[in-house]
Amino acid sequence: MGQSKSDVLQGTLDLMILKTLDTLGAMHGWGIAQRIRQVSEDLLQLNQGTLYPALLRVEQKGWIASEWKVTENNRRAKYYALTPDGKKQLEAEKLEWERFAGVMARMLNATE
Amino acid sequence: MTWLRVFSARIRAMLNARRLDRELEEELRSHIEMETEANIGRGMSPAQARRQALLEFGGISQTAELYREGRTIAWLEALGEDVRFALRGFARAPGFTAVAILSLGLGIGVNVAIFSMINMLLLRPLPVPDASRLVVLGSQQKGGFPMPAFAYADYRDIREQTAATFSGLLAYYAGLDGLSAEGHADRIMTHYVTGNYFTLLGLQPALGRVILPSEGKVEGADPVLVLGYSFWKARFASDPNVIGKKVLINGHPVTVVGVGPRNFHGVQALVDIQAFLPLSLASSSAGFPSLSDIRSIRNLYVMGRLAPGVSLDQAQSKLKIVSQHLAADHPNDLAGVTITAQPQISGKIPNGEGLPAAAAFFLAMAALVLVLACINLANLLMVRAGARQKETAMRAALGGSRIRLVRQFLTESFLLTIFGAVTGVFLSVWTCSALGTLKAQGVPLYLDLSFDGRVLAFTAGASIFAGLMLGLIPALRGSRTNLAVLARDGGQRLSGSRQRMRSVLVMGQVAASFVLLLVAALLINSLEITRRTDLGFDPHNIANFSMDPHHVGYNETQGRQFYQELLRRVRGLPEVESAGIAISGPLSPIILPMQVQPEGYEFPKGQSAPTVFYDIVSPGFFQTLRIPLVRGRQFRSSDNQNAPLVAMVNQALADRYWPGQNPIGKKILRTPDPTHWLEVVGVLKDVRYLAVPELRQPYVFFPFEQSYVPIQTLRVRYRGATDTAMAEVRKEIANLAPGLPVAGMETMRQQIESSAGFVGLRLETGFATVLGLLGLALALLGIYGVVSYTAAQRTHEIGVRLTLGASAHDIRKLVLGRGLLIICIGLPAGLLLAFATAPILRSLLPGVRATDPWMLSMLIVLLSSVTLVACYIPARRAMRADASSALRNE
Repeated sequence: MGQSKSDVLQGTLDLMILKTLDTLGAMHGWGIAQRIRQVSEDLLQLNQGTLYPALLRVEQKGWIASEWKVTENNRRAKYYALTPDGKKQLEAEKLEWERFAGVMARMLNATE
Repeated sequence: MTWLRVFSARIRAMLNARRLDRELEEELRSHIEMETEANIGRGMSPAQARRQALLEFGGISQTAELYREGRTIAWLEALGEDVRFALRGFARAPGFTAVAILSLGLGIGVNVAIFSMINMLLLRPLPVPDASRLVVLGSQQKGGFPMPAFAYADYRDIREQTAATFSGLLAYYAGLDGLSAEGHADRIMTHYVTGNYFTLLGLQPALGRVILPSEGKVEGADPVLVLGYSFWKARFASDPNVIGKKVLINGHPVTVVGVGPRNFHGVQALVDIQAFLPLSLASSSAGFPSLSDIRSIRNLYVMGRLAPGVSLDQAQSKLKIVSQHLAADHPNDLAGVTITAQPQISGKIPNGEGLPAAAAFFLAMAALVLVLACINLANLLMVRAGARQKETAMRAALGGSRIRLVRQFLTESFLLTIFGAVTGVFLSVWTCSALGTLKAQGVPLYLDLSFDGRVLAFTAGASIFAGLMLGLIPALRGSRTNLAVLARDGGQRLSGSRQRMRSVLVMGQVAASFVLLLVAALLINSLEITRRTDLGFDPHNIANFSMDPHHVGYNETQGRQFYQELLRRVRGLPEVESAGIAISGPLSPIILPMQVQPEGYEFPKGQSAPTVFYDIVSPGFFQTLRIPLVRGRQFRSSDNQNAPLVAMVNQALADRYWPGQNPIGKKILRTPDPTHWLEVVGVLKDVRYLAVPELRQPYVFFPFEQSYVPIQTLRVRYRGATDTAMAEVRKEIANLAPGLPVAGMETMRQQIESSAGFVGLRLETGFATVLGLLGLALALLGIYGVVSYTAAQRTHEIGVRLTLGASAHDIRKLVLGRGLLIICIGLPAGLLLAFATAPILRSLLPGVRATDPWMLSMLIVLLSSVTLVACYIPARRAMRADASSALRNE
């Protein structure tokens, strides 16, 4: 469990949001939080509250758009969806992240 | 561009803050509810489920705060807070706010109004492409007057010899004509132009076509007309079908071929030209062939566009060479004449050489008024800062940074400045529209005082200056607060040093307002002196009527008959004592120079024939104006076409050319007509003919019957009411020549008030008076503020003194003491300043006379007494205070 709650990098959370919305389509904040928890298999436990400033940040950049809708349980909720710009951003960040992860892996596995 | 998107998203969010707050609350609530539901599904009790959900979320209010921070722009929000705070403060002190805004508004407004005037007179170029390359040509006769106009033959020669210097030279004759269309006639201002006028200026017509370079070359050819845009709008209701229409100019048919561009009013400043015609038609207005070879009649104004790469200096030297060639070829007309060129922008006001200095002086006075207003406001703001010392200390104690506090003060002063600037702009627009009704020389002045980039920049500059000046002083002082003030309860007491500083500022105000008042008094006095000047004739009970029977198509014979009959009928009216006609007359807008050759007078070598002024008058004209005859006889009706040619001269002419001789019987030659000598039959006393403060100018007069010119001004000396007399005369003109436009219907007094020298002096006096009174009002406000504030601050002290047995007299002395100090230091300082300023003023404004001690003492008495009143009112209030209430006030 070694990860403390505040340690999640800002950019990482933004990328997670983009990826989640890419997979699920339009989704509300709670749904996104659930999805991140599930996918990380509870390894990553973030304060669900921090999700909302992140959503605002990403929305201000124009990568996602929001809309009020009614859930299947008949509750009003704000749904977020990926914009075409967001889709492009996701592709770019994914590449960047994979490259970075590759570099890190090589660094850590390198033997003298 | 992501940052821009974020920025605009945040701006939008700030505008919808309340709605977004509600939405956030709802969003977070629904999250918690969903989580709670899910937890219940996992088997928790409802209460436990909700607690777990909140725990997972990690602090609702923290999240909301973070969210809000991310939603807005911090500095903008802080600014909004500052603005709201300042506005609340203003609403709480409406008196302070009104005084502040009004005094700033007056200060800025007077600056903008004066700058608009200067902008129009000196800064704004002609609305044509590349106006900076345009030059105005003029000439200077050795030992004579500067002559702005040229003869056509001169223009033609100069143009031919300077083809490499100028891309082109244009010439125009400024006419006053009758235009008849749709059954009625108007008197309009016209330009008769060379064909290249519009193309050289680079102007496109608003409608139809302009006059073409091929036109205007053959006498009488090309009867076409281009209407001025504003005249087209006013007279023809912007009718596009006017193109192709035939109208009559002085009775001659011409065809309207176009309408000039929208913002173009002709190349002369201050007038709006209503129609443009080819120079070939000018003979109908000028009364002689306009394309002639006669060089002694100079009535064309010439402008040029410098050829690419040619500098003004190069053009000047080329013109000097051309002058020498011309003088060698035509010594009689052009010996000793130098042709000059100056940039259009500095040559657009005739005789405007002193204008920039006068403009700078008035701008400096206006700036002084703005400084006075700012000092007042700074003072008032300091009072507020003093009253708010406790508040400031409290905010500082609660952690408000000094920068934050200074920013609050600056916000307040900038807000005041913005309100003041808006008020000022409204005031200046109002002033400018009032100035727009000014008439000069019987012609409505065309004053385009509209806002342009320069005026806008000036307004912004003046406002920023004011805002900084009145914000920084109190802000820096006000924020330098220590917490000790909080501990001491009497937080509102001012420190001694600030008190001193305010007194010094007010003394400065008194001194400055003294100077402003002195300038105003000087100008008012000069205007009065000018008004009372003995003009040499009797201007009372004289009415003027200007007309030109050619405007309705009369020929010379009809014109002569018309004037004879008109004079006969008008003289028969019971309201009329006497009547006469003249082209120009004393202090008239029409000035007529002419080269003459007085018998026996040898003009100096290297000079052409001397230029004098002339007028053409009917018998009875001098008697009507009561201009005394010195020798000889008046013109008689027998001095007609069949009689020997005669002339009258004034004393100045006789003294200059026939000193010590009897001028009666001497001969004089008009250079345009070198064949006929005229015999001098009478000498008139010198009167002020050109302008009120004039030197004695030589004048020669010709009888109307022997030198017929259709444009004339009828002057009648009337009895009884002005209106009745004017109406009766007007009726006679209408009976005799129906539809004939009559202009310049005014009394001689009115004509004098609108004559060249008077308009400028009146304008200067008006500005100076407004500035002086504003300065006085602002200084009084300042004194009143300081004294009443001092009195209020010392209520406690006064209470103690009263308790200890001080009399009302002692208290009065205490409070009045400060006011007296202000007078004792401020007035002498003002006097010194005034002595320093007066010579500058006299050198700048030629109409201004010397300072006299009487005026200075009047001003000193005036300023001291109003200062004392401003001190006395608060002092009385302090005296009325009884001891107990004064003490309770603490």
